[in-house]
Amino acid sequence: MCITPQQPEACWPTSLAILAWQGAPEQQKSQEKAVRFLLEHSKVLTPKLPKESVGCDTTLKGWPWTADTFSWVEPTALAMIALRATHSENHPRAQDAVAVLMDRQLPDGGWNIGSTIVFGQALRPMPENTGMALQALCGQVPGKDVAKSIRYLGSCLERLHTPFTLGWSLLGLSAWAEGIPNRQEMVMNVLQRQDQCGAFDTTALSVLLVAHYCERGLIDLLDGKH
Amino acid sequence: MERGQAKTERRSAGGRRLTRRDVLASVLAGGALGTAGLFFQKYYEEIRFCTTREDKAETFIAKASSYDADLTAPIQAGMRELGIGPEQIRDKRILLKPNLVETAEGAVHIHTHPHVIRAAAEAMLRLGAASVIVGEGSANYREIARIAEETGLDELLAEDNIPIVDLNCDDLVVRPNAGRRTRLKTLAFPAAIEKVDFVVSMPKMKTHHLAGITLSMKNMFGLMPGIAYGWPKNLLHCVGINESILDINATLPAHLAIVDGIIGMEGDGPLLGVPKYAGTLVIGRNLPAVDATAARIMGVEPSKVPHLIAASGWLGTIRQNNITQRGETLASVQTEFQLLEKIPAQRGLRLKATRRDRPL
Repeated sequence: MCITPQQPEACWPTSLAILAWQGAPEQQKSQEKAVRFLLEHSKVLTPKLPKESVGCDTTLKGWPWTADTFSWVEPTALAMIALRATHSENHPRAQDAVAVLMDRQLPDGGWNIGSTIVFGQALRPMPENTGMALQALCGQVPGKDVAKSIRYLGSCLERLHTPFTLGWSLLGLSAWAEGIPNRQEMVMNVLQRQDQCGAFDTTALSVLLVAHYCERGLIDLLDGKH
Repeated sequence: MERGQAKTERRSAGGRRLTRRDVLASVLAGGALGTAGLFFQKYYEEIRFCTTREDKAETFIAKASSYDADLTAPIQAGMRELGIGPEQIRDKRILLKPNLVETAEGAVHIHTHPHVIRAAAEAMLRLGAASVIVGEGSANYREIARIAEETGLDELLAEDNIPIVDLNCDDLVVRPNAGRRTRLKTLAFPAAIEKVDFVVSMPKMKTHHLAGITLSMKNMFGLMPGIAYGWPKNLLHCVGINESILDINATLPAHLAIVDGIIGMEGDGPLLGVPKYAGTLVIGRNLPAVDATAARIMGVEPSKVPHLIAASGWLGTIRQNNITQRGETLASVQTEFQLLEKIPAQRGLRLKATRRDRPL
């Protein structure tokens, strides 16, 4: 899958397609083909570079936004979620995803797009990327290994008023069974902000509504347990 | 620069040997970090001023003491001085493209200030613009609505019913790459560009650890959609950041640049540097000339900045003799932005007259 036929290298939507086809028997072959692409054909750069200069282990192979570029947090997290949804979480490539995500976790907790330390300074974490990574890593690593990130994300919640970021933040925390007492109020506040700011993007709203629905994160929903 | 050329060893302006490994490291660190620009520098210096003709350009420098000052008046004055009046703006649909890469609580030095953006919008509307939209494709944020909220831009623009468009997630339009400095044959742009008549690049005056400095030409990077190039536009970094800057500006040249240099960023820009007060706005229609002027204000030699020297004589001019300075004088606002020796892309950029790089 690619974003448009004219941008065949932009293959990151493959994971989203796998999730969209979940539970649709008529799309099973397409989904299987997409999973095979994720596992076998994704092209990603993995040069050996000194960790002290780039802040991460570049030999680890996650997933890129576009073919033949580097691994980044969001496409890797989405790939991991898609592989878990299709019960491929024990495949070595899924374990690659776990390794990449743990390697890109920031020293004080949280994730951003995937840059960690630059010229000796740690970059800032982003709640949306942190939510995605936590959702992807749920059940794959011990809680203590992501405890700082969960704390960081929990501390962000009150100031998140946009659908995509709040949606992924809720999903990430819910996946780790973090209680979110005023969840509904937060979701409603975002929806009501549209009266002042205009309509939010449909994709972003969809993430928020899924997050509102999935009180234990995405995996239960995708497994049909919700 | 073709992608395969990265395999060749090159030397930076400072003489350090750069390898493919260096380049890959800088690209990975990516959207935020690195040194990729340097290895093009020698190449561009070799062709420096080899062009036969360069257009003349005008830039306007305004002093602006703070973000609470009246910023519409100096922008209007600048546009008037540059010959941009109602005849040029009336009934035009305007896209303001600020730099909204990231923010942090209390930080005004990372992004174009909302007051500058609003002032530009008001200046355009007063000249009869049919509409103004603000568009950005942040390299680090996944949704523009969040950075607009965190900076207060959304409330400010809501007063004038000016929409904010997320260029990362817009529909795509594909155009032939008019620059061909990268291997890319086409470039994907947000469809918003087809709904406007006049594009204004509104960068923050900052140092940059990939491109040396980031001003109106580099700011156009943020026009490119994340859904096509990833966050932080990783594909464009991989094919060459300086080459990509040139391709983007050659394919979609902006009509005007307004540089927010009231409080800029020095040191480890574009994200982790420190605030630098310069108290100025730089305005012009010729982006290389605007950036060259802003660079000189920062104490940076524009002919040492790879994408500027490559643009000169092609996309505009950076020669001081070709640039008529209007408004304030360069000397009256010049203030040395800190360059870090540990950042390869910032080495050797200092204007000779003001060389005082900080060794680190």
